[in-house]
Order: sequence, then structure tokens, then C-alpha cells
Amino acid sequence: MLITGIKSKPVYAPLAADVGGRYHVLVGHGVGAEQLLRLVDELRASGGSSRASRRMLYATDLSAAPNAMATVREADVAHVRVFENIPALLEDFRTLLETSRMGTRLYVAGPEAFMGLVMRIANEFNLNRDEIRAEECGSRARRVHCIHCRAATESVTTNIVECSGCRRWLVVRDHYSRRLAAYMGVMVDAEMPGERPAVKDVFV
Amino acid sequence: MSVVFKANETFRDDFTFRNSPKAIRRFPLPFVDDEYMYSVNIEPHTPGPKGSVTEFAIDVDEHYIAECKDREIVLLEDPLRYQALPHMMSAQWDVLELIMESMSRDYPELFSLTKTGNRWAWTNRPLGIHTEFTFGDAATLPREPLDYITRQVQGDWVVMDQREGDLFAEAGMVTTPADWSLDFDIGMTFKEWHGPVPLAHELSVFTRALKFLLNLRLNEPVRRLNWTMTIHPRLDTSPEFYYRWGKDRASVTPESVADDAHLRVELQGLWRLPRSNGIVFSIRCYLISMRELASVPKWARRVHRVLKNLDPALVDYKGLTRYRDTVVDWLAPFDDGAPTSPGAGPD
Repeated sequence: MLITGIKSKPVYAPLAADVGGRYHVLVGHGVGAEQLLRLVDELRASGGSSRASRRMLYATDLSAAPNAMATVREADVAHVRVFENIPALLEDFRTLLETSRMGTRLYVAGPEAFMGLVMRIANEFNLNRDEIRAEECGSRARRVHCIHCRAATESVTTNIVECSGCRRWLVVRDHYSRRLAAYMGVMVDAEMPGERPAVKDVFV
Repeated sequence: MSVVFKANETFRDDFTFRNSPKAIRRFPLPFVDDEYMYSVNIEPHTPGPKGSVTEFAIDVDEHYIAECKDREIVLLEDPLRYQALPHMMSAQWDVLELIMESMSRDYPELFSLTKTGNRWAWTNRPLGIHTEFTFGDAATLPREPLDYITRQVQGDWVVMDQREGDLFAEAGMVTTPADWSLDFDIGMTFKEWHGPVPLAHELSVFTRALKFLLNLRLNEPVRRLNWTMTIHPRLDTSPEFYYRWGKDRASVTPESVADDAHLRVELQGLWRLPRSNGIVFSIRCYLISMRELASVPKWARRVHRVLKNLDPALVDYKGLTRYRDTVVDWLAPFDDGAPTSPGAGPD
């Protein structure tokens, strides 16, 4: 099983204000708070975005700065919601997109696994790739989709991982699906049963 | 021409698949030279010599019935091998039309298509199918159009939507993949889909191929050959079932290699679709055992040289690592060092 440079992995860049947008939706997780607040300042400074045009959704975790929640709540946006976990944020995000209008720009900041889940919903609503900006920060842990049983294993930091569904040991292939918001996991010892490399932290 | 079908041969379990001497002679060897590296080896899909695999747009050979049966077995166990995103319906009809028109035109004794306005009647004699339906009305077919027709044709079929200067793989029937998954890859851009292929990105192969394909014109289809190796004549080497077939790669011995190791060649055809402006990509798999291959002296020499000097990244990517040396050793006595004639065909 060859692991080379990842061609299907999305390429991210630092968040920057898109002044062509009429509505700005900012979504972040964990340490991403810092990027979102920086972007709010940038949108304000650009003069092309009113407070009413900006909305923010944020989910916290232990990686965030201790005051992140409080700072986010005070951001200069029309609407801010703070969540204790990612699934709650995603549900709210979906509702928000259902009522979103033309000219909406989406900004995402957080770990790649989180961004993938947000992007997947954005894709369902046919947001074009040029309407989305994303900045990767925080944990490099991967979401892994088992190609054999189709279960997802969350927060994978190691070269091989036991599948949460079928319990096979999977090697994490460098192949990423935006639709599934996950990397492909393939049985590591299918050719020689029991022949497995040592478990090592590689995505931290 | 008349095809004698080997209707009961198998591509699993007891693996009774074999090539007739005629099938061996027409095997599309992908090596035009004694060494191999990726290239944008795309050429017009124009009719080849009589009896060759490119004589017609879509080749129907002695394995037709058995391959269609194998597809049904795969789909029964893993229905997600067929998928189509909702906006691909007009492309589905485009593909159905392409396949029905080609096969009925080129094999009139096997397939027939009659049209009365939008009322179409399709007869597939080898599989014993007769269907009357309204073109454009999916409710008049027993399955979605792409699902319906690709169960009656050899090879995998992937339909790409063209937008935003890219090609998105958004529908397909994939039951004979060389270790790639439609379920995982559906919705991907052209380069994402080919992400795992080594070396070729660095050679700009996909940038150039994409640019070429974005400009592909109606009625000017193109083709290329690709290849790998497979242990046993197994059509379904999907990642989904890798846990079943992976161990075959470690099972090859000097005694078993001649009959177990197969060269697996894909004849890939690409057509622009008229209504949807999408592109359909067919991936037709031809298998030949080393023993069958060595019955053509030129091919034994050439394949020996190609495999012996293959780039290590390709040996790894194509999954040959565990048995490449065993194959090379078996072919070595057939290679007397004599030069091989130009082109890929047998002498």
C-alpha cells in the first residue's frame, strides 16, 4: 500500500475577506476562534460588510484558548451561536444554509476533520468552491472511512487504526473524499494476515 | 463475424476463465516498446483492423455473457457499485443511446434497436432481454437508464459532468475496478479522482489529459490503454473486497505463476455526450495469463523486459511487489535477447 503526496487532499489558505460577498457566514472550531475574530476585524475594516451581514457559529473544545468562548460571544456580528460539540453546530449550520441567499460567502477555520464535515454540508447546498474559504488550524487528526464496512472512525492520529465498525486494522490511505469528509481506510494486513506495522502517531 | 460465448466461465471461486487462441491473438498488449512509463497516450478511437478489439466502438467478445453474469453477482452483494447523482439523468440517457446504437449497429445478429419516435425497442439476444420503453422517461425502464444498460455491456462505465473547467465523476457502474472505489470517489474532480496514482502528477499527465478532455468533441471519441497485473482472472479487484483477494498476492509460487499471474489491460474509451455535454469513460478489462501470453514469443520477450525494469513506484502502486520477481523469473527463459519488432501486435 503506497502512501505518497496527497493529491485529493483539499488545499487551504489563510482566511481573507471576500468583499464581493453580501453575506458572510463564519464557522469555526477550537483554536479556529482566533482566525474567525481576525476575519471579523478584516471585514469591518474593508467597509464593504455591515454588522448585519455577518453571522458566526463556533464550537469549542479543549484546544481553544480559555477565553475563546467569551471573546467569540462579543464578536461584532449580527448573530453568534456557540456550541459545546460539533454535531450541534453542524445541525445549526444546516438550518442557516437552508435560509441563506445569493451572495453568501462561507469561511471555515478549524482542524481538517471539522472543516471536511462543514464542507460536506456546504456541498449539499451547492455552494461553489470559490464561495468558500477555509483555513486549517489545530489537530491534524483524520476522519477515516472504512472502505470495507463504510463506518467512519473519528480523530485518527496514528498510521494504522482499528475500524470502529468492523474492527479490521486499517491503514490510512492518502486519498480524501469531500463527499464523505474522510480519508480512505483499507485493511492493512489483507495480503499477509497479522503482518502489521507498529502503531505510531503521525497525524498530530 | 460470429462470437462463440463461453457463457459458463467464472472470474471467481474456481476461476474457469480462459482465452481461446483467437482471443489471445487479439489481446491488446499495451507495450509498444520494451520499457514502460506513464504518458498521455491518447489516440482517436477510430476503427482498428478487422477482428481487433478496436474494430468497433464497443467490443463484444467471447467473455460477454460470463462478464455480465459476474457483474450481477457483484451488484447483488454490493449495490453501491452502481451510483448516479440526481443531476446526471440526461447523461444517463446519453450513455444508453451510445451503447444501444453502437452494439446494434456493429453486432446486428446479437442486438437490435428499433425506434418509433420516442418509443424504442431493444433486443439483446445473448442475454435474452427484450424491452420496449420511452426514451427520456425513466419510469418505462426496469432500472435507471445507466444501471439498465451497463448490466448488458462489458467494462466499467463512469460518467463525468463538465463544469467549472473540470470534470466531476458523478455516475458510474464499477464492478471490475483495479483497486479503486466509485463509492469513495463519486463527486470528485478529475485530479482528485486520480490522486493516488504516483509519478503521473509530477509528469503533468493529468493536467494535460484534463485539458485535452475538456475540449473533447462530439463524435470524435478517444481511447488509451492502461494496465496492471492480477492474481487469478478476477474481475472484481475492488478495495471494498480487498480483504478477500489481497492474500492472493502472497500466494504466487514458481509452480503456480504461469497460470495464476495475469496481465490485466484496460481499454479506456472516452466519448462526449450530446445532451448533457458530459463525458463517458469506459474501462474495459482484458485478462491474459502468463502461460497464454508466452504463446506469443514477441510478447514473452517484451513483457519480461518491461517488468524487469519497471519503476519501483509503479511496482508498488500496481501491487506487484510480492510476486513481480517470480513472474520475471518465469518469463526469463523465453527472452533470448533478440530484438522485438516495432508496435505491440504479435509477429
